[in-house]
Amino acid sequence: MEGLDVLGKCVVSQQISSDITIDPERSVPTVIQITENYVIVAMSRGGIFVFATNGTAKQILSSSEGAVWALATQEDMLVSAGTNNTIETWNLATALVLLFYAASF
Amino acid sequence: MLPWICSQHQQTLQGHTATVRALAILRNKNTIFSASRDTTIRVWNIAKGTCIDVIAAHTGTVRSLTLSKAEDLLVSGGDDGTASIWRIADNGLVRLHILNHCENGICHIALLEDGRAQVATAGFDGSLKIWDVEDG
Repeated sequence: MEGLDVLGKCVVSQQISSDITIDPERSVPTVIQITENYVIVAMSRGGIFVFATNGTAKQILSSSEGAVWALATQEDMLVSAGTNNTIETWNLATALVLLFYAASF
Repeated sequence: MLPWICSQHQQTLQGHTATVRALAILRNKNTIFSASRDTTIRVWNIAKGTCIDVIAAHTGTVRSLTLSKAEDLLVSGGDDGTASIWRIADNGLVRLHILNHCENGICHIALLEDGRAQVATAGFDGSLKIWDVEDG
């Protein structure tokens, strides 16, 4: 890539999962899907992590057991599939973004 | 204070008999294509939750799917080392071309639509090939 003068700037950097109860054993990312509103990461031990594009909002979608190998999106619609042979459809509605207060737990 | 995305699980589509490796959704959010180790591509109607077509697409795992921007073509690639270009019809898929990449299998495909349409196939042997969609 000689002649290129592009300096990539990292705008968000964080752990995908810090909750050890979700990933008791090593789980690696299998697919990343980026849309206008979301960054979605699927894992080899199941679990789909949905972030807002600024990295703050987060939800863990737990489908059935096994690795998630495929993701596809269309606006707020997410489709996931993997080693359990089934396809799951999800609605990632931004209208339903809630404010979660840690103090309430 | 953390904002949470509130997603809803909608439905589970069953039919594939092995791992599902790739997915594609049409813009109308009504049709899904899925590719599996069972060597088939399935076409699903989301509104009805039904499978409308099962295509014996490859002779090994179907590993990669990609849609054209106009949503008239679907390209599949698989462990049998071939890629297929499909025309998307109302009731399923019609095969237009088979591209023979290599014997080791295709791990990924991409559709290039800058100017004339081309398919890029990447093989497990480390090779990359680029094909014209028009004449396969």
